[in-house]
Amino acid sequence: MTMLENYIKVAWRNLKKHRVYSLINISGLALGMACGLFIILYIFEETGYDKWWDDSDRIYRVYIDGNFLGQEINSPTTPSEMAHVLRTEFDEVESATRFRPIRQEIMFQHDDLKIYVADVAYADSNFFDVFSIPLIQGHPKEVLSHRRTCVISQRIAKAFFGNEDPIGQYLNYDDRWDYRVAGVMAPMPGNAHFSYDVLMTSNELRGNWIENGHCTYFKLTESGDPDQVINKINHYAYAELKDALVDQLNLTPEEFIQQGNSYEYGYQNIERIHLHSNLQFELKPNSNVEYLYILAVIGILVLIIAGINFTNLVTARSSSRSKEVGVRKVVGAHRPLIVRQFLTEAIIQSVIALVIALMLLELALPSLNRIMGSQGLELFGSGYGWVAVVFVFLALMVGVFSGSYPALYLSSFDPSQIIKGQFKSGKRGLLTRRVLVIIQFSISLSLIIGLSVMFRQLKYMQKKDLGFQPEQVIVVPIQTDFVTESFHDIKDGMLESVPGIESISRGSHIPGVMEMVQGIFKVGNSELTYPMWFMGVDDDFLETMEIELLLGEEPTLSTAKLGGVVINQKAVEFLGLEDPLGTEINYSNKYIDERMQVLGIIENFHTDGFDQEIKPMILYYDPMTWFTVIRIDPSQWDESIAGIEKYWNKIEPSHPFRYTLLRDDFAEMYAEEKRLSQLFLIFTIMSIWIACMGLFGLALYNSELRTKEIGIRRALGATTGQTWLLLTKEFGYLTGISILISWPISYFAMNLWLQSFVYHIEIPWWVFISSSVIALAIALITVSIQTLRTSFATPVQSLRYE
Amino acid sequence: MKEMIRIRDLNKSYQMGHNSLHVLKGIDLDIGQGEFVSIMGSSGSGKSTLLNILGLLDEHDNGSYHLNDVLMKNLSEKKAAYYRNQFIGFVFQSFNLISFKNALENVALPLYYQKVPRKKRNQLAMEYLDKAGLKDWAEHMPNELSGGQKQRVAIARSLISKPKVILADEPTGALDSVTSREVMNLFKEINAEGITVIIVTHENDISAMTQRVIKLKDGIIVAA
Repeated sequence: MTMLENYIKVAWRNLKKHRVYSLINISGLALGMACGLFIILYIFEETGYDKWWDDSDRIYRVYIDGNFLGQEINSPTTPSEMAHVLRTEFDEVESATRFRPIRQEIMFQHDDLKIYVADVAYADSNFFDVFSIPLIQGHPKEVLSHRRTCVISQRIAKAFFGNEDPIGQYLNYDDRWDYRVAGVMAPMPGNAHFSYDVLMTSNELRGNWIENGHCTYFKLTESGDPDQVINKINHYAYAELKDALVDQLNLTPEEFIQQGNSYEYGYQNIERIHLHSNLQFELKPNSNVEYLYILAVIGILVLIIAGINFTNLVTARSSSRSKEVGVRKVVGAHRPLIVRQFLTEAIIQSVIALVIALMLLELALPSLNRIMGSQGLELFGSGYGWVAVVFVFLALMVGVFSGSYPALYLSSFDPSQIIKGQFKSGKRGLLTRRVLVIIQFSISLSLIIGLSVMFRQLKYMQKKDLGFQPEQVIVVPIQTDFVTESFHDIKDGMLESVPGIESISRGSHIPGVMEMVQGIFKVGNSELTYPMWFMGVDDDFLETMEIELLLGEEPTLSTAKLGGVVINQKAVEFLGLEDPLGTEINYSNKYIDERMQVLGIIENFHTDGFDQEIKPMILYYDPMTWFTVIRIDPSQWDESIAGIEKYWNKIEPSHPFRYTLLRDDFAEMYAEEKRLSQLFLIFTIMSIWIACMGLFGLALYNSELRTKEIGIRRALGATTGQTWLLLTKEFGYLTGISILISWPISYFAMNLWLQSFVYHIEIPWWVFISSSVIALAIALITVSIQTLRTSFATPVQSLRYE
Repeated sequence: MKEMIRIRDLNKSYQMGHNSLHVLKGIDLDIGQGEFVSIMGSSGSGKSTLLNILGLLDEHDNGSYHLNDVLMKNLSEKKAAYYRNQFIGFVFQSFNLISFKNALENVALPLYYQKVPRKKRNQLAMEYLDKAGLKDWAEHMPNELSGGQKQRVAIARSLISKPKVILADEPTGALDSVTSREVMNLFKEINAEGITVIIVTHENDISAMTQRVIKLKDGIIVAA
């Protein structure tokens, strides 16, 4: 048998002999490694966004930043003409393109197959000059250069055409126009801040410079300077805007600026968009580089703490093997052999931990991907194979690090001393271990408190009175002109023939379904302007949504003489109306002059997440709305849904029936918080586990140090309970210190978090108490695993201990 | 003479891996109140095991053991701690003083477990240290004391709870001959006050200083 085999054999025997200890130690390290590995994968995925495009360092996106008629605008949208100007008039620009995303699901049809597709955009013919998405079929220069052609993703090609050749086939857009398939895109080789399943040729070439609806990207020449380009385009836009301002708003540019408006274009390098851009109307929700920094710090901390805990446990256990070292030395083992023996054992443990970490991660990745909203991290075959190599190296390092101390320390002892039992574990490092335990427990406790506050806030958001009642309301999109025009007849027909419908109405912007829009209003003949939010609705909207009418009578808006509106309390306060009923409100500019009269005052209701104030709101009659809302009697839910579907398929046969629950739509607004709390839960459990490992290590170390003392005390009459208390009370103190540290930290941090919500809970005092009791209980149980073992040992066993 | 210890057919085995090691093989032994007894035997004869069982530091497998006419059987851990504290004083070869407590605190420790108030137990501990001739060393830590002094502190500690029996496991094993004699004289004085003293030793001159020598061989008493 070779020496290495012998080392491995002895190491394996030792692991088996101390099963519980091995399990705790290895699992703690494995958990730390899994966490670190996941964070590394995640960080690499997040930082890899948009770096795979050809010449990505030269591709820029233009965005607008300004204040327009009281409305903050910062969005990645530009006038439709900008790309053309960039491409044709600027020498620094190699190429520029634009696309216009359609921010809703579109029904496509081929033969009888109808599919709703979410990611659809109009794109310029030179789209592929800037964006190097590989095409499986079609030539990048040609696929978007003909009228009514489209390029589809491989996924959509498969869904519509199976194994048939898609090129030359037609896809019908929303029962309106046919698009000929001219190309098929391969899956993108990396992550990007946008992705589309269908790109259609742009049907609109020119527009004005005041409307910003297109996303514009340009690729610089190698010597180009983006600052120069953006300065020039700002000048260009200003000149073009002049006429548009006068035309649309009856304002000169000077007056426009004087009124506090601003309007400027900026640029972002495509590689920085995902982590550094947080504009309105992003193409996909972006990440935040600060989260990555926090995650990286957490990852490194978790790894370091898990590594130190592991080392501590290995060291604490090693003193019990001093005799073995003495005997080995006596029979001729020289120091390097003993050092190697200990190192091998520690490395074996850390390698086992790595293997477990990889398995844990592989199992947990699907759930973690879901929680983190990542694009599908993969451990194997993800191109991050080198990360595994780093971790093997790391495992070896942890092994060498944790094995070195006991190896060098124990092997340095004079064998005769060890044999005589004069070897004792030193008290060196006891303070460090205590500090480490305090830090770990402070973190865990802060997380427990944080988690508790987070869940309470989530519960509050779920239970809070929204000002309307989303339960039992379904939202059905209106997709054809027929439904829009015949809505009142359809409504009557449904109320008559479908069981269980309590009320029906429709609206342009439903809370949680589509964001509200803002407009500038005037009161009476006053010249003062008020930016307010408005929503087009139909009769019975208040009843269907169960929004309380506070003043006035429920108006039939559709038949009101002078455009009748209802406004919420917030609008009454905002406009400073003392006697709001009957007040005239005007919505006017050069093209529009709508005069409206307030017929009712309604209770405030939430239209956005709880991080937004309730807005001053006007509800007016608008027959051109996009969403039907239907309140259903819960006792007849199934028949009612089936009836509505049957009815709807008759009136809108071109589009398969689909609906959403208003409750779920609104819940989407705090999905991010929900996700965050799940992530928090994982981190909390993990930090508790790792902190417990540290605590267990300290308890073990302490017990090793005090075994003999315990024996003496037992011989002198101490009971098991008394010795348990003696060994455990120190940990009570440490937990107490952790509590004192974590309370202010978590109070401060969670208050800060809560401040990001306009509507939030106050942190109840007992959250601190109950979380601390939980932490204390966890600490006591962990410590007692070891202290009870020492206390229950017969006094003889303890006294014999050397 | 009243019996302090009565043992009948006492057996004790240890499990060593898959094998069982029969250490005490049916011991019968009586020790009267106020006797000064030594237990002798070679290494592995079972003398320390016997002493540990007498001191309730370890449990016997079968047979009976009466201490001060009370049957020591199926004692709860709490009860065993109580008897140890109330009836028995221990003296060990390696002194077994708690290294981070001074001489006075070491002596006072058994009274802590009798819930004697701190002031009272310190006062008593000082008295016992005085008896052991170490009053001036009360504040010293164990590592500042000589072997003999340490053992005298240990003896003072064993006496403070006014035990009926002192059990000493090789009390002179770590001491030179002069100090050993001093320690044995101290035991004699204690014995003269009526306390039963049982010493485990393998030194003939030490056992010669006791009233009765019990010899153990391979777990059996061969002379008593």
